[in-house]
Amino acid sequence: MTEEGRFFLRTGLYAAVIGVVYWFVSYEVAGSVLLAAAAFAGFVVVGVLVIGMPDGAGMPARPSGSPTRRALRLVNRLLGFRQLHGLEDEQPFSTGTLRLPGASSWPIVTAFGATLALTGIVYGPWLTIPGIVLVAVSVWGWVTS
Amino acid sequence: MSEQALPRPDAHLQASRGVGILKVLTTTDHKLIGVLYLATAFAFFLIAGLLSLVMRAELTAPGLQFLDEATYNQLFTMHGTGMVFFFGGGMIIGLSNYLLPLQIGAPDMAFPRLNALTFWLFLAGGLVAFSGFATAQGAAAFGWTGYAPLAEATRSPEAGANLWIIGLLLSGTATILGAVNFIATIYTLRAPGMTMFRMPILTWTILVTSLLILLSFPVLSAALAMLLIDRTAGAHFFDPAAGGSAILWQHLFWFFGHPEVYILILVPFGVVSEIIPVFSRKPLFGYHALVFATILIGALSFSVWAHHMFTTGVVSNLFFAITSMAIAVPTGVKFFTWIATMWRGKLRFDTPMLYVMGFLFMFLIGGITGPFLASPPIDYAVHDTYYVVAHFHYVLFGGTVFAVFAAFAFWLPKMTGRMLSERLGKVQFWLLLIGMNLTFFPMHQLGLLGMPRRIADYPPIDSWTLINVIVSIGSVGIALSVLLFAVNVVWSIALRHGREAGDDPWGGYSLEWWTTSPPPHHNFASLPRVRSVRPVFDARHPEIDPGADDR
Repeated sequence: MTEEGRFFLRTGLYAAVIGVVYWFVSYEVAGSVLLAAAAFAGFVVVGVLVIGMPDGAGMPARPSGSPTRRALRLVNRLLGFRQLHGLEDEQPFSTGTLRLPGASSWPIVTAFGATLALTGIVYGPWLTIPGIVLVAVSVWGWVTS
Repeated sequence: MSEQALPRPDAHLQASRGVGILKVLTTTDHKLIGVLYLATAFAFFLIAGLLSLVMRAELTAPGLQFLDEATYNQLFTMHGTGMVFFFGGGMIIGLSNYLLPLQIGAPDMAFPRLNALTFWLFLAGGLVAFSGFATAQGAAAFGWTGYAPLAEATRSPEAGANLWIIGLLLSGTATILGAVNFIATIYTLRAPGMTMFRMPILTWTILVTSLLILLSFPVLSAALAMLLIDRTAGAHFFDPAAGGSAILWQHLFWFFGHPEVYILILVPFGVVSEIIPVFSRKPLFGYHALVFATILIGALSFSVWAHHMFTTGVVSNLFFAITSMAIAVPTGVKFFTWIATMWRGKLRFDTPMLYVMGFLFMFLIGGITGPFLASPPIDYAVHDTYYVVAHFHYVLFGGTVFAVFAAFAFWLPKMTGRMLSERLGKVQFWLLLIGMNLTFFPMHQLGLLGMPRRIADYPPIDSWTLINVIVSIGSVGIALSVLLFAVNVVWSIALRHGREAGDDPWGGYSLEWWTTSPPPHHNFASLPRVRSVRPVFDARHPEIDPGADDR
C-alpha cells in the first residue's frame, strides 16, 4: 500500500479504536456515531485507493521470520512512516503533457446561484427559484463545456 | 561552493500577467485565487478587528457607555465568526491555494474550476453572514458557537441569525470542496521524485488540515442544516422542551469546533517549519518526527471535543481530560524540532524570523494554559471567564496571526516580486508583540478574578476596571500594528518602493523558490530533480549529498 493509502488507513484505525474506547467509557451515542463515521470515511478512501491504484510495491516476495516478526513487519508496512518506493526517474510533467482548463465564468455563476437559492430561505421564493435555475444552468454549462 | 544557473520560465508562460476585472471574475489560476482569498480574509480581519475595538471601547469603564447589550452581543458574535471562519479559515485556504502547487512542483490545482467555485462560495458566505447587520433586528447575537436553544427561533428570532447559518453553510461547503481539491492535488500532481516523505512540511500540514476539514466540516454543515430546519420549518432537533437535545448541538458543534482550532493552527505550524530552517541555514531537524507529530495532533484533535463541555456534567471528563492533555506531547515534539533546527545554526533575524520567534513564545503561553483548562477542576473554576478568552487568543492570535504575518513577510516577495520594508516590518512586529501581550495577558488575571466573558457591563470593581483599561490600550496597539502592515504593503508593493525581490530572496529550499517572482502562469517551465526535502538547495549545491536529509 502506498503512503497515500496508509495516511487514510491510520486515520480510519485511529477513529475506530478511539470510538470503541469512547463508547465503553461514556456510552454516549452522538460522539460514538461521529467517531464511527470518521472511521468509515477513512476506510472508504483506503478502499478507493487500493482498488483504484493497486500497488504491490514494498511487499516481500514471501513471508519470512517468526509470526511475531511478520506481524510487526505488516503493521510497519501498513501504519509506519517509511517510504516504500519513489519516483526517481520519471520526467517532470511540466514538459507540456498536462492540460488545464482556462478561464471560466461558470464557477462564479454557480456560486451566485447557490447564494440566491439559500438566501431565499430568509427573503422568499422570489430569490430561491431564480437561484435554483441559475445553479442548474451553470452546472449544465460547466459539465458540457 | 559553486551554484548552478537556474532555468528561466519560457516567455510564452509569462505572457498572461495583468489583472483586469474580467480576469479576476473568471480566473482558475490558483495563484490569483490564492491572492483573492488572502485579500478577502484580510478584509474580514479588519472588519472583525474593528468590532473588537468597539467592544474594547465599551469595556474601558464599568456601566454601559454607548452600546446596549443586544448590540454588544451582535458584536462579539460577528467578531468571533469573522475571525474564526472568514479571517483564519480564509488565510489558511489562501496560503494553501497559493503555495501548495508551487511547493510540489505542480502547474495548478487538480481541479482549477472547482477551486474558483470555492472562493466565490467563501466570499458569498462571508457577505451573507455579515449582511445580518443590515437587517432590522441586526446580526446573529448568540456567540460564534451558536449554542442551542439560544440559537432557536423562539429566543433568537432575528433574520440575521438565519443569514449567519446560511453564510456558514456556504463557506463550509467551499471549505469542504477546497479540502478535496488539496488532497487530490497532493496525491496526483506531485513532481517526479517528490515522494510523500520529500514533501515540504507545509504541504504535509495542508494535507492533514484537509483531512481534518473533510471529517469535521460536514458535521458542522449537518448541524447548521438541522438548526435552520428547526428555525424555519418547525422541527425540534435542539429544543429540549419538544423532545430535542441542546446537548446534541454541543456535541456536533465541538466535534467540528475543536478540530477547527487545529485547522487554523497546523498550516501556521507548517509556515514556521518552512521559515526556521531557511533563517537558520540548516536542514529541518527531525523531519519525520515533525510529520508524525502533525498527524498525531490531527488524530488527537478528534478525541477532545467535549473538553468544551466539562461543566455540562453529561460527558466523560476523565476521557476528555486525558486525550486533551495528550495533545501537548506532539506539540512539544514540534517545539523540540524547531529549537533543534535553530541550535548552532547561522541565525538571521529578518522580519519573517522575528514573527516566527513571536509565534513560538506566544503560542507557548497558549499551549501551557491549554493543559490547565484540560483539567476539569480548573475548567470548572474559570469556565466562561476571561481566562478562556486569554488562552484562546494566545493560541489563535499568538499562533495563527503571527504565523500569517511571518508568511506574508516570507512569501509576499515571491507573490509580488517586491520586498516589504524591513524597517516597517520590524516596527510592526514589536508593536504587535507589545500590543498583543498588553491586550491578552491581563485577561488571564481578569478571568481568575471572576469576570465573565460576553458581558457588555460589569460592576465597578477597581481591579476589573484597571485591567480592562490596560486591555483596551493594548488593543489600540494591535490596531496600529495592523495599520502599519497595510502601509508597508502599499508603500513597498503597490507604490513599488520595495526593492526587487529576485527569484529567491531568502535562499529558500523548496520548489517555489525555483521559479520567478511572481511565478508565471502554470508556475514552472522546468523543474529540478527532486532528491530530498530541499530540492532547490540540492540543485544549487550539487556537491552536498541530498540523501543526508532523508537519513
